[in-house]
This record gives sequence, structure tokens and C-alpha cells, in this order.
Amino acid sequence: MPIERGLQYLRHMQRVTLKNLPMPLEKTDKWKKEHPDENTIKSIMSRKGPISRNSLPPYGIDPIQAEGRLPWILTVPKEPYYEGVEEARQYLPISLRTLQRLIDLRRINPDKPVDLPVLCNTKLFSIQPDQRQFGLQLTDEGADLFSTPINLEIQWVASELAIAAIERCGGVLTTRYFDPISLSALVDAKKFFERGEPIPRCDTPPINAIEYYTDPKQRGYLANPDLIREERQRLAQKYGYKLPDSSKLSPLFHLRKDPRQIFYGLEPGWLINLKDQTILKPTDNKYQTFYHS
Amino acid sequence: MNIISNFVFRQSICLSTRHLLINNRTYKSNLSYDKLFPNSKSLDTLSGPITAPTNESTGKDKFNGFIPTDKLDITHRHARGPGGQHVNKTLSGVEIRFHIDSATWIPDWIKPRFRDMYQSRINRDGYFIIFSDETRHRLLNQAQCLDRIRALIRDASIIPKGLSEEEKKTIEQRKQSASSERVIRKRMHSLNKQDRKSSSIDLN
Repeated sequence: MPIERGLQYLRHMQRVTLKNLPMPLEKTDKWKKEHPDENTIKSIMSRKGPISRNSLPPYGIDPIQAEGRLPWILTVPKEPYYEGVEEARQYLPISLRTLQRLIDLRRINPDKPVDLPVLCNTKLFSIQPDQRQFGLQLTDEGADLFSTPINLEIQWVASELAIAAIERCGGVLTTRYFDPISLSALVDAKKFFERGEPIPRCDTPPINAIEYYTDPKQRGYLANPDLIREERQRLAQKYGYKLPDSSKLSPLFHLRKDPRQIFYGLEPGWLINLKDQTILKPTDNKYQTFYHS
Repeated sequence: MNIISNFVFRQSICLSTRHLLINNRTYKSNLSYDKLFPNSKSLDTLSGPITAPTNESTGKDKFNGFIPTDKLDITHRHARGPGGQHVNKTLSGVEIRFHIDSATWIPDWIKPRFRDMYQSRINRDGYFIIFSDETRHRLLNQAQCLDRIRALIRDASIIPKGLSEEEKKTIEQRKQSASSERVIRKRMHSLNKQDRKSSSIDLN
């Protein structure tokens, strides 16, 4: 009985007020503002937009604020094929055909080692290190025409045919990595020497390039020489030519740069004075340890 | 003495810069090749020991895959197919011929099998002929010819193992059991057919 209940409240509660009693809720205006009913919700919400059309956008997007337009995050398009374009390395192509042509026209001397400064001095390639360009790559067009033995140092080779075409004539190929600071020194060597900076020490390649430059199949400069020899023999048997006798080769083909060295014959840390025709070498211990590390 | 010899060494290098280029410089960083590969058999990429076969296989061994290119007769020919002036002018097809009996690089026990299996590629004088013009590069076509030669020799050198005693016994046993079951089935079927006929026994 309700009277009994009331008396129980009086007995057990500390204080009995209108607000304390467990009565059915009185729906004041304040309460109604915080808990709108279905009809008020419908009148507040927009008549257009994904909510009113029973098609909600994916999670994380506010349908009430869409108001008939696409939410901002859906207006901006996704282009997943451009992922990683800021870090991608570019290599300018040079074909075997252009190489042979340059040798025939006597713009390149095959009696000296052919590497990046030699090829850039022909002024046919404009390599810009700040545009994420990391050197030159060898393509296999003209593989049948190539017929001079050279000691070539290039930054990337994509096809096995190009490597075979050079080794068939008795030449040597190595792929070499140059970081952007060393590259700016190599691309225009005379301008670099006129700047008066010491020759930089070349960095090791980034992690996504280490697999390429330690691969003997690509003749990487950090690959094991034993494995490179095996690969030379394998290509000779695959493409059907004979490797030249190594004792009869001139010492040109045995020339190889140290992994920290950029120019043939010059060490990192040296300052070159073109005007007085001298070389200045560091004597301080800390510079010596740095440039020999 | 050391200092004087160093000084003399440096002076002689400054005098001839071309000498500098051609001689092996002594610059060695921490990443020099003798430190990166201390256990390698030879640091030179041109000369040194190789594990792959560099000599022909002798008469009784297995074929080791080595083909001496001096002993093959390689000719460049015109390629077939469409392509206009380019295909007419350039000789990108490669034909390889060699005399089988006088080839020392094929083991002797493979030769008769080889001749049996590939009669259509061998002409009357005993020459084996193979031709390839599938790619645009002569080198690649040559590689394909050699690859095919190796594969064909390898196929000719496979001798089937043959059946062992146990395998032969089991096969015979299975044959016998199958035939005895067949006989039983036949007899049952014939009984069926006989029952359908009218009997010739007089019922008296």
C-alpha cells in the first residue's frame, strides 16, 4: 500500500524532500531539452543528407554535419599509386648504343676507367641531385652492337643482357651508389674543386638499396668477389661467349674504387687547389680517423 | 728511415699524376674489401677459384652443363615473321650446329640416346641443328639455343630407374587377383544367361 511505503521512507531515509523521493520522473522543460523525442529529432535534423536517405557514410564521418554534401574527407581523392614518390630514386638512362657511339666519336676514352664524372663531362646528361636523381642506369638497347672492352661504373642496371654485352667484349662492370652530396661533387667536378671544399666521404646506401648493391648478379660494389666470379662464369655459359684470360688483361680492368672513395686516385678529405696545382691533406688525428673510417 | 722513405714516396707520386691513376692507391677505409670479406678466397673479381664447371665433362661422367663455344658453329641469319625493314636487314636469328660424334663435351653413353630421341633435328651428315629467332636481340637468341641444347642433353641422359623385385611381385599378384575376380564374374553372368533360356531337360 502506498501509505506503508511512505512511512517506510520516513523511517529509513535521513532526509525526505521532494527531490529525494523515488517518484515517477517529472518531465520539466530542462529535462525535455536534454532528451528530445523522436519527432523533435526529426524536425531538427536535415531533410537531405545521408541520414535522411538511409545511407550512412563509413565510420568516422559525422552524418548530421554532412547536410547533403560529401564530407571533406571524401571530397579529397586517394591516389595510392603515388605512394613513396617522395623517396623514390631516379636514374637517367644511358643505353649501350650511346656508349658505343661516344667511344666511336672519341668523346670517351676506353683506355681509362669510365665512371660518372667522365660521362657527365660529355654534357649529354644533366643529373640534378636535388630532384632525387641518383645517377645513371644502363639499358640494353644496342646489346648486339657493343664491341669495346671498358671498365664501366654505373649506378643501376636493370637487365642481365646489358651486363652480358659488356663482359662478352672483355669489359668489367660494377654498380656503385653515391649519396647526393658526393653526387653533386661528381656531376661537375671542376666546379666542385673551385668551391674549395674537401672531397666528401661517400655514405653507405639506404636500407632499401642494400639488397641491390650486395647482389653479385647486379655486380654490386658491396658484393662478395667470389660470388661475382661465379656469376661471370654463369653468364658466359648462358649467353655463349668465352671469358678472357685474366692474366692477359691490362691493369685497367683490375682497377676498383674503395667503397668510401669517389674519385679515382683521390682520397676523401683532400682539398684540391687547381690554381696552384697542389693538394692539401689533413694532418689532424680526428680528421684522419674520420676520413679513413 | 721510415720518414725519409715516406717523403720520397710522396714526392715521386706528385711528379707523375698518370702513374697515380694507373697504380693501385693505398687508400683503405674501414669498408675496404679486405675488411668486408676477410674470408674470401680471392679479392679480385676477374681471377680466382670458381666452383662452377669450367671444363668439359669427360666420357663416362654425367653431363656437367659446360658447353665450349669454340667448338660450336654459330651463324647469324635473318629472322622470320613480320617487322618490315628492320627484320629484313638485321641478322638477329641464331643457328647453332655441331657434329655429334666428334663432340668431346658430350659423354659417350648419352650420344646414342640423343641421336634416337632427336632424329628430326639431326641431318644426314650427323650434324645437330637448332635455330632461334624469338627475341629481338642476337644475344638472347643465342642464349635460348644454348639453353635448349642443355635441356635436350639432360633429357637424353635420364635413365628410368626400373622396377625393383618387390614392385614386380606386387604387380603380378594384382594381375592375378584381378583376373581371377574377372573369371568369377564371367561365370556368374553366364549362369544368369543360362537361367533365362528354356531348359533342355525333359520333365517327366
